[in-house]
Order: sequence, then C-alpha cells, then structure tokens
Amino acid sequence: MESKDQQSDDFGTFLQSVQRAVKTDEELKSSSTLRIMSMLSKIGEVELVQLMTVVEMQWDDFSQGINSLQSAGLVQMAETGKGGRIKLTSDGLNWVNALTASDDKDE
Amino acid sequence: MDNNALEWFLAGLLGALISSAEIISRYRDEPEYALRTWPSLFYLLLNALASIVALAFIRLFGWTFGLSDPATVGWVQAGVAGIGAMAILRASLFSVRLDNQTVPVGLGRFLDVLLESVDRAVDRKRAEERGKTVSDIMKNVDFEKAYVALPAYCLALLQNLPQDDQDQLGKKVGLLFNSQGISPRVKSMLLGIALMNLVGENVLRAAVKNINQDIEENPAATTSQESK
Repeated sequence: MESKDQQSDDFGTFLQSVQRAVKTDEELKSSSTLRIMSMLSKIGEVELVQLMTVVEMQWDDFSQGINSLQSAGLVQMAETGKGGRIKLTSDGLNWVNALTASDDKDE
Repeated sequence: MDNNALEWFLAGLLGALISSAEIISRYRDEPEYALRTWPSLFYLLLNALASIVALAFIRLFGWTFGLSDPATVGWVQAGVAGIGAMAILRASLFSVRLDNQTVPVGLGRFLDVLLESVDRAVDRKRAEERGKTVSDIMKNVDFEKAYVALPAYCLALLQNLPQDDQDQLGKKVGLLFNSQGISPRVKSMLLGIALMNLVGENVLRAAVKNINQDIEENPAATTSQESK
C-alpha cells in the first residue's frame, strides 16, 4: 500500500506553491518587490534597516516584499546584530539583469 | 638561457600554474574565458611575482634545505618558492570582528577581491549568453498561458526535482504573476530564466517546442513559419 506522505512528486508541489503564492502576493503592492531588487542591485549587500530607508516604502509592503523575495530565492539574508544584512542571490541578479536589459531595449 | 635564469622562470611559472588551476577549478564550464579576463591575468601575474619574490628571499637568507649540490639546491629553491609563496599569499595574519562577523586580515583578502572580479567578468558573459538563449526560446511564449503549464511540463519531464526547488519555483512564478510594471514579454523571459536554471536549456527548449500550441501567443503563425 502506498504511503500518503510520499516525498517525491513530479510537479504537485509546484502547483500547490504557485497557487498559494498567487493568492498570498495578491495584496502585495506589485512594484515593491521590483523596487527592492533594483535598489539591491545598485547598492549590493546592505543592512535591512538601511535598505528600508532608501526604498521609501510602507513597512507592511517592505516586509511582505522581502518575505516574498526571500521565499522565492531571489534575496538572501544573513543575521547580524542590527536586524540582518540582505543581498540578491545569483537568481535575483539574473532577474535584475534581464529587467535592465529589457528596459535598455525599450529605450 | 643559463640555469639561474631558468630557476627564476620556474618559480614564476609554478606560481602562475597553481593559481591558474585555482581559476580553472572555479569555472569548470568557462575555464578558457575565465583565464583570459583582465582580473584573471593580473591574478596569475601577482602569483608569479610572489613566487619570484619568495625565491629572492630564500636566496637572500641562503636556505639550502639540507642539500649540498649547488645545481640541485637551485632547482629545489625554485620549487619551494613556487609552491611556498602560494601558502604565504593565502594566509591571514590576524582576524578582526566587524558587525559580529570574524573577518580575516591578510593578503588572502586581496586575492579574494581579485577572484570576485573574475567572478563578475565570467557572470557578465554567462548572463549575456543566457539572456540570448532564453530570449530565443521564449520569444513567442505568452506568460498568461504558460506560467503554470510550462513549468509543470518541464518538471514532469525532469522527474523528481526536490520539493524545495519546486516550492521556490512556484513562489517565483507567483511573484511574476502579481508583478505590475513588467511587460508580458519580460515576464515570459524571467519565467524562462527561472526554468532554465532548474531544468537546463535542452529540457526548456524541448518543452516549449512540445506544447507550443498551448502556450504561444500566436501558435498558428509559428506553425506556418516552421512548415516553410
């Protein structure tokens, strides 16, 4: 008899995750994640508090944006005494590069 | 060329060879390009110079390593200088604490900075190539039609991708879906980049080709182009 707790599946986890993410991020101000990523690509690794002051966002949007980016593997946090340092992952950097390249083409 | 000059050359060559092995092992997929970048050439030159300086010190202090034959001593000194300089360059002299992190201070830090420059040069080239490939594969893909179907199909082709990776991909796609201010074309490209990093170029290309009728903006046009 097959166990109901099987760890492997072909794409079931993806489908559940994308459905959850679409609903969860629905209320997230859509451009906030882009602003965070674009700022991180300019300033590199930075303290979370410092990032918040430069992106000029509401705390809720900022916090939710960071959480979404972190769980999607686009930013990476390291614990420090001041609340944590944050930087783009290589995936995040690829995204920002693609976005910048498309902006350049559009211009 | 006399033996003395050859010994100096050997010391420098050993330094350069050892550091080139370090770069080659770091960039297994792009070793030639990595070695040709300016930071990389500077890195090799610095290591070669360090070995030559080490040989100068060894001779200044008259270290013979217990050997008496002058010809043998010269070659051994060159060999020790070539390898020993690498250890000295990579050693840290002391550590300081910054922001609750222990940071080693020494010449090794300078080498790390150079290696990071090589990283960036290689990454730029990879990004350029990946961008062209993804743009080619995803050029007719409609994000709205593909954001669930294409990843699911790729994952099914690949089989057994870890659930954590699937979960992260789902969250990336969710983020893309809800992002405003990004054109559908760019969303498709970002979807392609996320997929290519997980499943590779060949699987992505095969998947887009196999289900193009369901995910492309104008499948009829593509089909007629292909038939021509």
